[in-house]
Amino acid sequence: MSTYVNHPARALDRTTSILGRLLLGFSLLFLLLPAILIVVLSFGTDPRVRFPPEGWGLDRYVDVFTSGSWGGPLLLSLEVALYAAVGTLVVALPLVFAANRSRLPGRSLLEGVAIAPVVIPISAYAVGMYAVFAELDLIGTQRGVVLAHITHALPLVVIVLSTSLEQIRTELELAAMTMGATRLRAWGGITLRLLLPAVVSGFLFGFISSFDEAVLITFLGGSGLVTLPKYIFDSVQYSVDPAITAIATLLMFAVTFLMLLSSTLRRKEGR
Amino acid sequence: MSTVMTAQRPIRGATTDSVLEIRQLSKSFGDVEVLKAIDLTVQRGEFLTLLGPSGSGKTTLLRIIAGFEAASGGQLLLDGTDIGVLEPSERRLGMVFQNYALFPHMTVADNIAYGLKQRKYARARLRSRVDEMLQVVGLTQHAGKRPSQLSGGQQQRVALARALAYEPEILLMDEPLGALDRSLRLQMEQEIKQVHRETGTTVIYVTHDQEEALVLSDRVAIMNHGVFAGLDTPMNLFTRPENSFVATFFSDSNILDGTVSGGVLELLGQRVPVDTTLAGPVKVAVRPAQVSIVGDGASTEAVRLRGTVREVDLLGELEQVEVDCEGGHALTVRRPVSSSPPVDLGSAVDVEIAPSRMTLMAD
Repeated sequence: MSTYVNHPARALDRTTSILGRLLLGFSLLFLLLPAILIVVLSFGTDPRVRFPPEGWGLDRYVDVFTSGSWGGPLLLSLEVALYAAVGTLVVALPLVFAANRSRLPGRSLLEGVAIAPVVIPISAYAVGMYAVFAELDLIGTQRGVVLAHITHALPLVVIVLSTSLEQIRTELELAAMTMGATRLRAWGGITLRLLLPAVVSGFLFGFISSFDEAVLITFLGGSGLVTLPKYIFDSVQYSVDPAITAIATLLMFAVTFLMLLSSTLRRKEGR
Repeated sequence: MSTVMTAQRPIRGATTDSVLEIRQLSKSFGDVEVLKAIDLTVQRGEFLTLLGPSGSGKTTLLRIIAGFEAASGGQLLLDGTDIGVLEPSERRLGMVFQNYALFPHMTVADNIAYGLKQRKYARARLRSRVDEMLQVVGLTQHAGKRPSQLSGGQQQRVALARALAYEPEILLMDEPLGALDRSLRLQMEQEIKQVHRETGTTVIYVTHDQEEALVLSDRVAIMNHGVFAGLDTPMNLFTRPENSFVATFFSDSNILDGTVSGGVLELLGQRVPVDTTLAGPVKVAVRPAQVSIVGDGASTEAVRLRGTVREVDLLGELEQVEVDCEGGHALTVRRPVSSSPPVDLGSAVDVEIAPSRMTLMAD
């Protein structure tokens, strides 16, 4: 240990690194513990959720797929998420091209406006939307929820697409054009082709963001529209259906898988 | 400064017919005039370099020729037809970019084939042309690799092969060696020169590096503030600059003020006979290598100054000595290290300029 006495700086380094690791460990534990707990609980068989479970089995998963009460919300969630993801791309793609590649006046404002929802607290945003949607008779309609989810997903998808587009040099398009490609072909065959991984990634982000969304649907879904997160929320509020531990576990794995898929795509593109 | 200059005589390595004619071309971005009614005739097969400091308009001119920017006025004639209104894809030009602009998702071979595919080459002809170009740039072994797997020099060779594959009328090169280190740059200069000689393609080359321009070019157009400050062979620009901008930018010359009357130049209070048609105030350009640091008893015909050595920089075979002379003039001297007696910083020296080494200019 005499080396550390001789090198106080190194001893300090060691302390910092130990503290850093402790912090990291605690954060991970704190973040993951509830998730792990849910996974563990989902394999219990007790009539009420309790820890530790007294019996082990797949009863809750069987319940999810046979009770019939989860199917409707799941399908609605998938449908809304699909429309929202596609809709977000339809808005975001032209937007990032206009903001990054055109000489449109006010183009920087465009991206700013698209990203703005991210800084507004979602509950405040939802209240505002409620007022507007009530005026437009969109409360409780699937169209309305999809629209709300598009605005909710837009900032993230715009950021994903625009950081990727910035990496694609305009010279590539110009090079293709001097070599005889029309503007459209240079754009489609080179720029859009290189943007493809980001587009897929943006789609997944949009999908997850909608699939996972519980606040906007609570405000705007009315009484009729119940997506999966809403259903989970309701079932916890009024009675604790033990099957939610199973559905939460399934959701967690599905979303993790999509996230990994999207980040793999983005890493591949960066290569 | 004259803005209108065209080739008056045949160019080395070129035939005398012109391939590109630029007439009164101008370009403004808002209130800023980047190109001011430029005239230029490019000869078929020549290697023409646009040389100038940043902001001189050289890259803008190249981008207008390529069709990436529209000119504000003037004409662009390729083989006699106005191409100013054509899309870049219709101009039959090739372009090499500073950052190579290779398509990252395609192999080297596919990059080279891109222009041929746009021109609907039949498969067999396309393949043999790609092989040929790979051979020209020595990358046959790397045909199946992605650009990211290649070194900077190799990527630049792919860019060159790609732009030449479909035999463009003119090859445009925008500072293609700017991203390479010095030794690789020197090597690529030789390769570009060789490819130019072998293919006979007309090249318009943009750079801010005067050494590159000296090595590569048949002619150099020196640009400053949107006009041509000089347009001639590198040798003529080097030895007989026509104005002080060309003299300082192209050959690092010293510029001194003098007055000519009756065949006698008065310079720094001394009078020497000169052979010139100029009269009145003149600028005198002297290249650093033409100024000498002398001992006693030098020729009486020369302009001679006393000064103090401010700085000595070793350039390799040459050393560069900065001398602060009497009367507030600073002169740069370059001389061979091996055959020159050493000088010390701060020491007093005599500096001499022979009249035959001076270039007299009106401005």
